[in-house]
Amino acid sequence: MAEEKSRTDISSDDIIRKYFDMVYHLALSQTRNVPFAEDVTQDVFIQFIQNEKIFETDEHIKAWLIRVTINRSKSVFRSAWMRKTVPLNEEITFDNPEKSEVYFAVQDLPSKYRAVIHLFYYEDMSVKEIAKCLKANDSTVRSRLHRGRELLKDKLKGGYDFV
Amino acid sequence: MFRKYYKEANIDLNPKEELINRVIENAHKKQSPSAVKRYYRYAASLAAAVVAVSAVIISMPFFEHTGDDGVIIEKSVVETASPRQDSTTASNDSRNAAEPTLPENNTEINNFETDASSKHSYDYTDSNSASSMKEHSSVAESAEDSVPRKNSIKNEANTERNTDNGRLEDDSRGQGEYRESAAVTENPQLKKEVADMSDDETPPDRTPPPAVQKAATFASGGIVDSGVAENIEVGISRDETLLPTPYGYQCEKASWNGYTFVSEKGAVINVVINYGGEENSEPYYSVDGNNIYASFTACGMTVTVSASGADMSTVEEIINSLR
Repeated sequence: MAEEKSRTDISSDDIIRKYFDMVYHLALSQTRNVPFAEDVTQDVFIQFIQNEKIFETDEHIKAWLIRVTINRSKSVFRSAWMRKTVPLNEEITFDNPEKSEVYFAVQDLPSKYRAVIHLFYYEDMSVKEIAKCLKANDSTVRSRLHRGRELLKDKLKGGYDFV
Repeated sequence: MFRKYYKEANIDLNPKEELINRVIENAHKKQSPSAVKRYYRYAASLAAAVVAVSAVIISMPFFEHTGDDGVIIEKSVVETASPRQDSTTASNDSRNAAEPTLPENNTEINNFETDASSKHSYDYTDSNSASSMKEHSSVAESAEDSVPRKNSIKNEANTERNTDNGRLEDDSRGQGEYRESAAVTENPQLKKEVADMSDDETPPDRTPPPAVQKAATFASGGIVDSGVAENIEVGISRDETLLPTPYGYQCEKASWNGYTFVSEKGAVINVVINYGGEENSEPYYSVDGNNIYASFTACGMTVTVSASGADMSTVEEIINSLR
């Protein structure tokens, strides 16, 4: 397929720059901490370069990066040091209160709902794509998405439209 | 609305270009190492494994040498038996034959050395019995004939006992093994030195204490003067006491644990030696008609003398010679 490009065709630097935002924001939504997010992002791309696996398509690369980012974020929280620390949210500020309210409302969600909400509303991924990345069933993604929305509705008082 | 605000919030948190460059740079730095570097981490463990295996291989011969204990033990037995150079037992002779080194002044006639000695020429007529016996003993260093000769030596001892004059020139002893020893007896000096050939009760590996080791070396030619003991002792360098045949008696039996002397008149004196750990004790005499009983303990050895038809003086002489 013409659109399919192997890793050998695209340099690793291009891939990093193309998916850097995605990985970084996903790591930030999972870790809720900027330094942690930077570390996770770096680890993901290091692992990407060290990985000798040849990706068939961009979607394959994207799915791989998302899965690895989520796993690396979880491993950060599993560390003994991390268990004894509380992430600082003060460093993240927004000029718009709605942005701040929405963003921090998502941050307060459990991680499994947070990942689905982020991928759905920020990455504009479909339920199917999310299920493929997370290696879960479509119904599972839908239920998590629905549950996440319910929790956001309870938190957000502005009556946002979750379209 | 929610999607809009959430996207705008994330865009506000976009990473800086500096962060992107730093991540790219670090990612290339920590790129997968070359094959050499990749296997370098295993070099330390591989080296440790090689060292461990080498240590096991090197130490294996030391463990295998434990199998040589038998040889060592055998040598030690021979060595401990070596003090009994004056012993006339066949087993001692065989052990001496197997021993690589023998005492210098061994005046004992080692009959089992005949085969080995036959290969060497030495002069029995030499008045220096010690030197001749030294050659004799050096010849006996060949351990090849030591074990098989045991039985032959015993046979020789029995044959000797049966001879009238006790000369060692009985060819039936060992198929000619004692040819040389017969020449020895012709030597007046060596004539008085008789190897005990009778050994019916030779223990397999028991070694009497070196302090007191009894050997019957007499009966070479009928009645032997007790003064022979002195001559014999002269030729012996070790601290070994011999049990001389009392005056008027013949040595009927001589072994490591006992002697039997018989006189022409029919008197019999039995000497029994038991090796143990008892404390020294003075001789105890008991007379019952014609029988005399005496016993004492010295140097871990209990000597019991029972005489029938013998004089007390003879029994005392035996006791004193053993003490």
